[in-house]
Amino acid sequence: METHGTPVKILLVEDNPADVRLTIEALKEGKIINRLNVVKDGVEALDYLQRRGAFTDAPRPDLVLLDLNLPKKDGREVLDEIKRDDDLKRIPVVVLTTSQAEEDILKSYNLHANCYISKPVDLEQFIAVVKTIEDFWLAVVSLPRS
Amino acid sequence: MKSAPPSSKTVPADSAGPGLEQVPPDTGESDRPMEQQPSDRTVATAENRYRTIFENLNAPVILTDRAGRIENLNRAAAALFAPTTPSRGQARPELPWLTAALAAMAGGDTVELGLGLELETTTGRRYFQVNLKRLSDGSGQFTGTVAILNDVTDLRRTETRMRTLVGNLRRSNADLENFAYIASHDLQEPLRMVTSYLQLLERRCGDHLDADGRDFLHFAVDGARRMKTLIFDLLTFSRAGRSDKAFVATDLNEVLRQVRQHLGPAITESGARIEFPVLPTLAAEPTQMVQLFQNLLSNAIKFRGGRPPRIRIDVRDGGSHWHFAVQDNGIGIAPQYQERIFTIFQRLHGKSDIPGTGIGLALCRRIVERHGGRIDVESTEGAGATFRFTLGKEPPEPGRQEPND
Repeated sequence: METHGTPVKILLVEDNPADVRLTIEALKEGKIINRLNVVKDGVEALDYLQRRGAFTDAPRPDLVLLDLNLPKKDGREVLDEIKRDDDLKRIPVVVLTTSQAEEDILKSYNLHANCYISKPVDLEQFIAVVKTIEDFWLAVVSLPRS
Repeated sequence: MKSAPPSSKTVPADSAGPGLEQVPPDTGESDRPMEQQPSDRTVATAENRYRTIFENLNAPVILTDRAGRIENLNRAAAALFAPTTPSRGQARPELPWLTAALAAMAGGDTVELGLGLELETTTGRRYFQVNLKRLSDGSGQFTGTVAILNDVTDLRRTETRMRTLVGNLRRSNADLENFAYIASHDLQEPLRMVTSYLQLLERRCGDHLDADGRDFLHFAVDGARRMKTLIFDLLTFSRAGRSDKAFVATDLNEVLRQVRQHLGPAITESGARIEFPVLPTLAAEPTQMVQLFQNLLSNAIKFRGGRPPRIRIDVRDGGSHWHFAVQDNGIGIAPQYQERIFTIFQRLHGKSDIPGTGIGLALCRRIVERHGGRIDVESTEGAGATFRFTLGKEPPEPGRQEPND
């Protein structure tokens, strides 16, 4: 994977700094070189993706890791807007949340989430999950160039 | 026949005592002449008798004429509604509520006004059940109405108080369950951070710590892990009461098959033998039935003595409910703890002896109660335990879990 010239770009939408850091630490243990950008609420996430406001130069991410419970605009709305946008809808969105509620899972897939993952409580498992996400979405599957 | 009410037509003319036992059966031929030809004395005696009864009844009774004006009222009614009985010549007084009730009767022969009639009386506002009945003379002509009242104020008050209490109870129960659910759900999030960062610390910096440091870290990780289990159990427990999944026909033989599969390793390891007859199918929530039987069986295995566990499940048809018994040959429970074991997080054994959080039986009780049953235990310490519980054959009606509803 290190042979890839450009590191893969991941956008993490997460408001809890402890969770952000944990994801960064977990990604560090993975094999894939990545550049992680973090936004802290739903409004920022859409600004980033649509390159508005402070994010006019933001790179298009290869993968979005989206929490559901976010300030200002929650993850479900962000997901809905991404998947309605003809340009953005091809970016794989992984819902990564603590919720295990059946309704959240159903709602997310109805809004065309690419997959839904409940964050495991255990660190080992969390690291394993982040590695799996990386491997699958950034190495196994073929994605369109843009 | 002793208590058969006398009918005015069968009262014998000169019956001396008040005892109704002396009234001959009305099929007797001897009644006929009196019926046809009542003497003045007969009428006076009968009149006198009924007046005495009328005056001394505890129930307020009011007689009206055809227009609904008060013709007569007994002492009980007079004490409540008017200071005196109107004397002849005066205009007959009216009671507005009675006039209205008579109008509502609209020519019907008899009307019963339920528990709700609230009336102003000399002793304040009271509730009455009111019976209205049309009166007619010998030739069937409408002559007026009799109103018989039953004071149900105390009943009403008790009922209202009960309803308020049940309402409060249900609300506080719902609040509590909601609280437990939210608390356990929201507690998971910060706990995940504590656990994760402790583990990260151990993983990345464990080598830089000395033996003491590693010990401390180990205890912290262990504490967080146990808290996680408790929160998870609390969530399971509160979900068991909140569940709104429908009851479906559930084959307990299939439930037992699943339970035995889940407990496979424990059964093999302990050498447990589980016997049960053909079990019924009942209206239940299948996952909760699995939880119930699994908790009882795993307890029977967990709390075994030195011997391999022998567990016997029995079932008996108790009409509206099935009666179950799960009997084991384990260590048993001393009498003073037999109620406590059904309380959440109550444990009788040290964590190092037998693991567990103390949720199992509390969950069992909750499940059994949700299925319209009860659970208790019979045991002698050291000589095994028998858990007895009932499960309703039909699903409980909504809201029936609370009493008096």
